[in-house]
Amino acid sequence: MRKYYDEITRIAGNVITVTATGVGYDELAVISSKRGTSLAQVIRLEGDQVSLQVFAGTQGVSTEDRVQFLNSPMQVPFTDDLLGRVFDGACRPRDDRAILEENKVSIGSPTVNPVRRRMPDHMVHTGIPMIDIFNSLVESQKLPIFSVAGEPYNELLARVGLQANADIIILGGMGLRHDDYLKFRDAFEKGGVLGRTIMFIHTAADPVVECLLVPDLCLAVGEQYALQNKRVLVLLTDMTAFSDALKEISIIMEQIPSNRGYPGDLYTQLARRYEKAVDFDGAGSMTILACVTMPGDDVTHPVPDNTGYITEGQFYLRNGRIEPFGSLSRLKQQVNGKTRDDHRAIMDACIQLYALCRESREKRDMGFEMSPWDHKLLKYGSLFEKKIMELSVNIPLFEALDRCWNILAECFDPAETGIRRAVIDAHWPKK
Amino acid sequence: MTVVGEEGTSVDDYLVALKADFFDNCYLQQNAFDAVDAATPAQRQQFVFDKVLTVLELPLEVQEKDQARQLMVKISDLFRNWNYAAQDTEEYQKILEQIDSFIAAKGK
Repeated sequence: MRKYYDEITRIAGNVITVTATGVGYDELAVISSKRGTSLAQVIRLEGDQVSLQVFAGTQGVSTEDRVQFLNSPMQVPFTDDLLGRVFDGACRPRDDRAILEENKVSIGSPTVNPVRRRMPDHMVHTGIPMIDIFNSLVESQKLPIFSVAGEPYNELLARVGLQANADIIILGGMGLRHDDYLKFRDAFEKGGVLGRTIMFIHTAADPVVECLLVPDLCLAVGEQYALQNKRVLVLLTDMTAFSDALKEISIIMEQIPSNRGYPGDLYTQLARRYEKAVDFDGAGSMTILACVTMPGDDVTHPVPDNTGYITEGQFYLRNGRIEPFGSLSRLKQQVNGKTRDDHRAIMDACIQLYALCRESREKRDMGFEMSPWDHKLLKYGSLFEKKIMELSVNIPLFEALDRCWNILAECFDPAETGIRRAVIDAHWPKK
Repeated sequence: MTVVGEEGTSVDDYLVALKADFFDNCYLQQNAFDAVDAATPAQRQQFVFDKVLTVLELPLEVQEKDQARQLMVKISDLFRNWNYAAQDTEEYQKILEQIDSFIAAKGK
């Protein structure tokens, strides 16, 4: 027997409130109005007053319309047919292909029990020296890219997707511009990885509430693949758009706003998603790389601030480069000791010398005379930026380490690098 | 030096700055990823400190700044490698001799 509720007591923004009983939190419902039907999700229960987010928006919904509850939370089909497909935030196909209905799994499930996790110690090779050498990405790590609008963070994310040694790539787009979505699709198509990619894309033109479901859809699918022994890489862009969507909904719900109008549970909402990153004991893993745009390049903004407390480090993308200072992968020491014996030495020496080069540049800009040592540092700095830091550089780890040695040898005497003698003897390029 | 620049600093003052860097890099800092340098017994720390102090008080005769820098690069490199060498190994003794001869020759 189908049961309909037709006592809509309130319509505010994308949220309607209906009088109903026996309804669960996060449950889905269908609203039939003059303008068609739309899905809605229960976001608050207060006695018999049930508030629902209407995915398609409340335009055209009247207080006489009917609501039917589906008795289950949002679900996503999990089959191998997902590979190569593109969906929107409500899991409808965006690529004009068949709707998938089989093997549904609930999204928004709890995070994995810590005892089922193993200590992360597999490196994800990306072919980007600034990541591989200096801040290695580790399987099951959750790492944000802090950036500003206008920086090529989506390009960086697409490149990591293309080049990383992952079995499955899941892209979650939130508030994307349509051409950014097309760029991702083209990049994955040209790179030949579309066959192992799944995209959940919410564009800026789509209903705000669908934005909130994108990370959950990605992570639910990713988790299933990880359980099937796959190494999954989840790319999310942009988590600031996700947080703004949370803010919009919470304001409609008349929740007491917290810092800069974001909901008080922003941290919890973000952590619930980031903490899905896991390296299963006896199965695969899920790694999360997420873009966080900082409005006004302000790292104290609530979104990057809260994110920084959850994730295991961060990359700063500035002036088209991954900034070596401030960027940090907290798990790198789990992997960079067993790649090659010179990995840590190169990582330390190159960054120390680059920091000294920045000091020399400052001196030069203030009009001071340059000493022979300053000239060496300046030469090193420009070579390092061109051959290692540029985002276009795409070389495997060992080749990148060799390239660092060549740059050092071109600019310095071995003792000036501060690298230990045993490593110098083994790796310093012979003339 | 950030105020007056290297050209506004005398060779003697420049040497003091280099020695301060040396003290920082070779004694105050440790490499926690190195098995030996990560945990140094107090006895060795005292021994190393005496050597460091000797170098700091060493009257180095230098005419120009780049020469001073090169001298300090050399001794810093010796101390750094010394810190990595386990006590009573051949490597440890060899570097100790090199440090002693540097001190005896006053860097010449």
